[in-house]
Amino acid sequence: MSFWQIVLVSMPRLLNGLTVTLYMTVFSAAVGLLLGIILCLGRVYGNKVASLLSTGFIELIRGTPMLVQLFILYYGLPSYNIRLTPLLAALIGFSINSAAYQAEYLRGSIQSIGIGQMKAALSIGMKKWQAVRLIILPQALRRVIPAWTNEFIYLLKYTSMAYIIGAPEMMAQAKFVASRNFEFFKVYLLTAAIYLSIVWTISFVFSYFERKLRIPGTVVTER
Amino acid sequence: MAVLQAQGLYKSYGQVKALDDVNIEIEDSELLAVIGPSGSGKTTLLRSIAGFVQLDSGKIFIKSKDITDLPPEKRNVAMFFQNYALWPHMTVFENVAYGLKIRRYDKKAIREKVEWALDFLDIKSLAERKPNQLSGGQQQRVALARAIVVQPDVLLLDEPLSNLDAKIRMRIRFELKALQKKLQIATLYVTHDQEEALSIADRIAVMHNGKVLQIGTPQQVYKEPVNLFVADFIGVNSIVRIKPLDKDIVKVGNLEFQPQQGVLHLVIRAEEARVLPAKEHVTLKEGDLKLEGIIMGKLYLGSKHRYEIKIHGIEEILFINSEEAFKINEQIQIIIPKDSFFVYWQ
Repeated sequence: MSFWQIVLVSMPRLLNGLTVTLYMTVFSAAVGLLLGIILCLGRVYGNKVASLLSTGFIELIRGTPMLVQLFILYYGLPSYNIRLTPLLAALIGFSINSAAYQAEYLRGSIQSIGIGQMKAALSIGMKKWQAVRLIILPQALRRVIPAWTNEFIYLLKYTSMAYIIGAPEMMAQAKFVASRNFEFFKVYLLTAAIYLSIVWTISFVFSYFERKLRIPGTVVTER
Repeated sequence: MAVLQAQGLYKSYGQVKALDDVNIEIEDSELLAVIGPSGSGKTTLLRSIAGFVQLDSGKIFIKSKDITDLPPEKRNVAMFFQNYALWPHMTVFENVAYGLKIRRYDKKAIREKVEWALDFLDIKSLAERKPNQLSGGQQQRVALARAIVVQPDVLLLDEPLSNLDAKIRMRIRFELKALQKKLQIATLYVTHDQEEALSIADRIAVMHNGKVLQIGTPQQVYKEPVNLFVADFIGVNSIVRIKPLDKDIVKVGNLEFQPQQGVLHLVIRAEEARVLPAKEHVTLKEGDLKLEGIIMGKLYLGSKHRYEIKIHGIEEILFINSEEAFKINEQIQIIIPKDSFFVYWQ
C-alpha cells in the first residue's frame, strides 16, 4: 500500500483516537491546574498541616513513575472493589500527576516574585489571602505560562501511556490499525506527524496568550 | 502627645542584637530620621513598627493603642519601600486605589482620594500607565501616593532616596520635607546618609549595634555628639588617635588634656577646619585648637584642594579640604573652632 492509501485507511480510527487524546489532555491539564494552584498555595502559604499535606502529596506523585500510578488505579483498586474504566483511571492518573507538577511550576513562579510585593500589600492593609489573590497570583500565573506550555505538551504525549491500560486513545488506535495491515512504519510515522502538528499548534496558541497577557515593560521585546 | 511610642524593643538574630533596648517617640507631624551604618538595626526597627518583625520583647504604641501583636494590615501604618515594590500588573491608579478598595470605600470616594493623592504628587497624567513604563522618579512618587492615600497614622520611609541619582536626590529632599510638613504625618525615615538626615529631619536618632546612641535635633547631634561613634558618623571628619606615654599631660597643638583611661581620640570636623600658611599670624579665640603640620600630598577637587597633612608632634595624618593653594612640603597651621572638634577617651 502506498503512504496515501495508509493515510486514507487509518485516518478515521486515528482521528477517533485523537479526540480521546485531546479530551484526556485538556481535562487533566484543567483539573491539574485547579488542583495544582490549591496544592501550591497550601505548600507556600498554608499553615503547618496544609503545607505538610501538600508537600507530601506533591513529592509522592513526583517521586513515582506515572505508569505505576496508572497500574495502581486500574489494576490495584479492584482489590478494594473499586473498578474504574480505563478512561476514568487514565483521567484521574493524569490529573493528579499534572497537578503535582503544575504546583511546583507555580511555586517557582511565586518565589520569583520579589518579597516586597507581598510586604507592600500587607502594609497597605491587605490580609494575607487578599494579597495572594490580588497581587501574587495575577503575576505568578502570567509568569508560569511558558512552563505550562511545556506541561501541556508533555501531557499530550504522556497520554499515549494510557493505551497500556486499554484506554482508546490515539496510540491504541494506531497499534490496532498497524497490527491489521502490518504497515507499522507508515502508521506510526503518521501518528507521530499528528502529534507533532498538535504540539506545534499548542505552542503557537500558548505563546500568543503569553504575549497578550504580558505586563507592559516586563520583557525586553524583540524588534 | 506622641503618635508613635516604642518602648524597650529587643530583637536578636542568633548572636546578633539587632535591637537592644530601643526607645523612641515620634510626635504628631514630626519627621524622625534613624541613621546608622548597615547592620546597626535601623531597618529592623522600621520593620518591627510595620509589623514584619516579631519582637523578642518591648511594646509599640500608636496613638496610645498597643499594636505590638497586631499583624501589619491592622496597624494603619504605611510603608514606603526602597525599591518601591509597585504592583506591575496594575495601573498607577489601581496601585494607589487598592488600599482604599480593601478598606471598602465606595467608588466615588476612592476616585476622589486617589485623584487627590496623584494631584498632590503631581503625577495625575500618569494614572493609566503601568509601573514599568515609568521613570525611577515617577515610580517613587507613585509609591509615595500609594502610602499616603490611606491616611496612615505613621509613615515609614525605608531609604526612600537611595535609588535616585545624586542630582535628583538633592531636589527631592526639599520636596519630601515640604510634602511631609503639608501632610502632617508622623514619619520615621531610615537612611544611612547622615547629610540627608541632617537636612530633612526634625530629630535624628543615631543607631549602632542595635542601640540608640543619641536622639536630638540635627543641630544637637552635630554640635554635641555624645560619644566618639556619633561624632565620627555625623559630618565629614578626620580622627587623630593619641596614646599617652605616661601620666603626663597630653599636649595636642596648643591645648593640653588630662590623661584618662585608654587612648585619646580627637575628632575634627574637617569641613570647619581652616588651613593657613605657618607664618601667618592668627588670633585664636578661647578654646580654639591650633595644629601645626606639613603638606604631604594634594588632590585637585575643582573648587578646592584636598590635602594630606602630617601633624607635628603627634605624627598623625589628617585629610582636610581648603580653597587655598599650598605646595607639597609647605609648613602650615590648622585652626579648628572650639565646637568643631571633640575629644574622647576610649
